[in-house]
Order: sequence, then C-alpha cells, then structure tokens
Amino acid sequence: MTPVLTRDEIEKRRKGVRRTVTILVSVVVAFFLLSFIQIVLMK
Amino acid sequence: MSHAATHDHHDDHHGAPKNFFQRWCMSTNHKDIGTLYLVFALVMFFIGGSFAMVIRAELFKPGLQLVQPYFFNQMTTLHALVMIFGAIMPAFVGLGNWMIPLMVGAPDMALPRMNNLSFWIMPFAFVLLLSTLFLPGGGPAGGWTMYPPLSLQSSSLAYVVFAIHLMGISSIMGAINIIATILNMRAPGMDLLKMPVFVWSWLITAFLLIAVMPVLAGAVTMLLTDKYFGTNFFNPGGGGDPVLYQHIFWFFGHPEVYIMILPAFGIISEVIPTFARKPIFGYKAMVFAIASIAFLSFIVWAHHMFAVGLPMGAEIFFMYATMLIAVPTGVKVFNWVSTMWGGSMTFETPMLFAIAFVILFTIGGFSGLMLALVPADFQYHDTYFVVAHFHYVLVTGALFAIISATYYWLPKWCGHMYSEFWGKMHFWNSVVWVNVLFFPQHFLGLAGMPRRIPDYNVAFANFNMISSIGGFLFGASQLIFLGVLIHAIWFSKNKATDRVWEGAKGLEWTVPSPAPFHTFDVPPVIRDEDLAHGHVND
Repeated sequence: MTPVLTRDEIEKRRKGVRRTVTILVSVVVAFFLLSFIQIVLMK
Repeated sequence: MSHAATHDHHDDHHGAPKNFFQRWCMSTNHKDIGTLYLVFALVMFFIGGSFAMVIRAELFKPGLQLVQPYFFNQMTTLHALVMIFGAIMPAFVGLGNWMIPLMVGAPDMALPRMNNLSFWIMPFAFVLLLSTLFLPGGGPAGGWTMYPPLSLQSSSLAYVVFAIHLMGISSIMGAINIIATILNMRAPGMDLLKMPVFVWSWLITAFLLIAVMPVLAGAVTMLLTDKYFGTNFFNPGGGGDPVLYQHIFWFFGHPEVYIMILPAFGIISEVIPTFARKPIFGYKAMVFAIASIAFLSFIVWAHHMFAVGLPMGAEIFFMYATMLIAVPTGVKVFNWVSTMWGGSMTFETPMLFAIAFVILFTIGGFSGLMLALVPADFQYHDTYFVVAHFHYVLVTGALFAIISATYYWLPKWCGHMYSEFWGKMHFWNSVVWVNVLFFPQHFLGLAGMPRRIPDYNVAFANFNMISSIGGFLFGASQLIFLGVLIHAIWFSKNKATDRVWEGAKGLEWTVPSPAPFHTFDVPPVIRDEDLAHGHVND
C-alpha cells in the first residue's frame, strides 16, 4: 500500500521547514557577528 | 515558502519544460539544478586546471621562463580560489542536489526557488572574480588566504571580496536547503539512522558551512573596510593585528577542508559496499566518525599558524587536537577496508577511483599528521611539502571521490552506460600521473623549496621537471574524462538498467534510468532490504 501524505503531515513538513530555516538563518547571522566580536575582544 | 514541502498534488505527468531558458534558468527541479552545478564545476575544473598548467610550465625549469612573477602569483591565487569555490564545492553541491532527494525519498529540495538562486549566484561570482585578470593591476595575487597586509595592496580586492560574499551567500543558502530537506522531507519510515552515509555526510557538512561561511564573510568584510573605509582591524599602525585575520580566516579555513572531504567520505561509503556486494562495515561508527571529525575541525585552526609565534600551550593544544582527528579518520579507513574484506569485489571504474581514494587520501592524511607536529612544522611550513600534502587530500581525495561518484551515478542521470574501457583508461592515467605530479613535491618540500615562487634553486630542478611532466599528463588525462562524459550522455547506445550496478542498494536505484523529471511525488514505501543500511544493528 503506497503511503500518501495527509494534509496534517504536509502542514507538519511546512512548519518544520520554516522552523529549520529560522534557526539556521539566526545561526548564520550570529556567526557573522561573532567574527567582528572576536576581533574587538582580542584587541 | 516552499513548494516541494507543501505540494500535495501529483505532477509526475509533467515533463521538463521544452523552452531552454525556462528549463535551465528558471528551474526549480533538483535534478536540473544538480546538473547545472555539475556542469559549472566541470567548466571551473578546466579553467582552474589551465591555471595549474601555467604554474607547472613556469616551474618546468629553474629561472623565469614564461610568465612574470606577479602573473605567476595571480595564477597560484586564482587556481586555489577557482578549484575550491568553483570546482570542488559546487561539484559536491551538485551531487547533493541530484542525489539527496532521491536517497531520502523526497519529491524535491525543501526550498526549490532558493535552490535556483543558490546556483545562479555562482556564475556571476566567478565572472566577477575572473574578470580581475583583465583589469589594470590584474587579479588577486596574495594567495587564496588573502592575508593582510599583502592582500590590501591588491587593486582587485573589492572584486574578490564581493565575489567571495556571493559564493558565501550561495553556499549558505545551499546548506540551509540541504538541512531543511534532510530534516523535514524524508519519506515516512526513512529514519535518520537508515539514511545513506552520503546523506549523513552532507547533513553534517551543511552544518559546517553554516557555521563557517559567515565567519569568512566577516573576515573579508573587515579587509574591505580596512582598505577603503579607514578601519584598522588588521593594521598595527592603528592598533590592529594582522595575526587576528589569520585566526579568523583559519576558523573558517580548517572546517572548509572538511567541507571538501566529508561528502567525499560519504561517496566512498556508497561506492565500496556496492562493488564489494556487502553492507558497509560499522554504519553507525561511520556516521559518528564523520560527526567527530566535524566537531574536531573547529578546534584545530591554529595548526596553520604554528610559525606565527603562538604561546607554547596553544601550540601543544592545537598539535594534539589535530592528531586526534586521525582517530575517527582511521575508523573510516579501517571500515572501508573491512567492507571490502571477504566481499565479492569487482573493479568497475567507480570502484577503482574509490580504492585509489582510500590509499592515496591516507597518504595525504599521514603527511598531515607530520605537519601537525609543531617542531617538524617549523621546517615544513610554507614549503612544497604542504603543497604535496593538501593536493593528496584534495585531488586524490575530494576530486577522485567526485569522479567516482560521477561514474557511479552517471547511468542514473543520463540513462546510458559510459564506456568502461575509456573509464579505466581515465583511471589508470589519472592515478599514475597524479602521483608523478605530487609525490616528488614531498621531496622538494623536505629539501626546503618554498611554495608560491616562480623561480627556484637549481638543486630542485629534477624533481620539478618530473612534477611538471606529471602535471601536464594528469591534465591531459582529464580530457579522457570529458570524452567519456560526452560519449555517455549523447552517443552511448548502451542503455542503463534501473539498478545499474548488481550490488547497488538504496532508493535512488528504485527509480527508472534516466531518473524521471519528477520522482517520489508519492512517498516510497521504505523496506529495509531495499536500503544499503537498512539493518543497523552493528
């Protein structure tokens, strides 16, 4: 029997992708700023 | 936000768009974007390779032969930038794009439009980078590491920095897409510990990319503001410190090495079990070894800087931390050998490249261990020994894995078998000449020949000549690869079966060859016996 994604599962995927992207973009911004902070702190 | 993540209609009846512009420039299809990445990487491979030919031609004999020293420096710098950011990384992203959705049973990447943007940024970045060769003042010539104050003297710095920003944005978007796909788009029943090792290797690599590409962006932004906006981040005259740049650069740079090798580990972990007709030995250990290597890659950056005058405690820490990487790497090498042990092995071209990878990458690993030793590194630093080391890791490591993957999955992509005879010709020529090219460079380095110089002492003449001959013939061997690809894609009459290889397991082999434009619109049923790593009790 071929499994078909239910509407709930599709919604779950959509939310999962959104949550993953939000977290990862925050990490990217944090690491970008980290490089400047590292320089300022080490000076 | 995401088409593939949300669509619930079955559009496998849609074929690829007929219009060339729509199909290739507007594509949101993971297979087409994967193909674009792979073609782009191949073009960049030949451009970067042509720079290498200039370098080896100049070094064929002592004395200045063909090019001016400043142009030689541009060649070494651009060779590295083009090969790292233009060839190796996009090739892995292309393989990931093509294969990850197929391997986890997803209909496409989680963010298909962003996938298109990630690719189409790249050609503009490289046009910008390579255009510097035609500008007054020439291209970047301070090495790919762009250490200040040398790099600040270059008139092309702004172009290079902007190109690197674009590449970084592309890589970050690609990494976010891959993580979002793997974490959210797997078919029901495809548990994390049932995923192929290649998918695992890309998941971990994507996290590395997300952590370090912004740091590179920060470092080069500071270079830019130092040159054009009067800041003094790296200028001692204004209270800055050039060594700080090196710390930040290598905080990016060392994980970058693993970004270029972890997906290669994943590829080899797919190819060897197929041709040994055995499941991979120690699946979980392989996954944890990749994760361990990724973690350690963040705490070893200063081993590139032993010669700058670090405190003794720091040198000892970074030496031991670096040597620790040999443990998970050793686990992987022994597991590949154990997978082959007692297997019904056959030696098709992908397997030949995979076996060469295991042997030659290990040589690169061993010379890396030598370089990790602080007292020894003081002699080896900035010599041809380092050049030999990282070319064994990146050419016979990363590149051989990419070539192996191309032969392995090409029949699935184009639906035709390549010529096994010419594939083997490509392999034997490559494996012989790559060693003629790079092995003598160990001796040159140990004898004290510095890297990045267009002229050298006559004492180094013989090994340089041998290395250059190896270089020309290795370069020529890659034309065989091009011929094999063109023949397989457009002229081969030999149709590929769905499974292609007798011992191949995994979801990607359950779809027809060539893979249809849309796959897994309806999630596949996951059966352990179809998966390469379905039974993970070991």
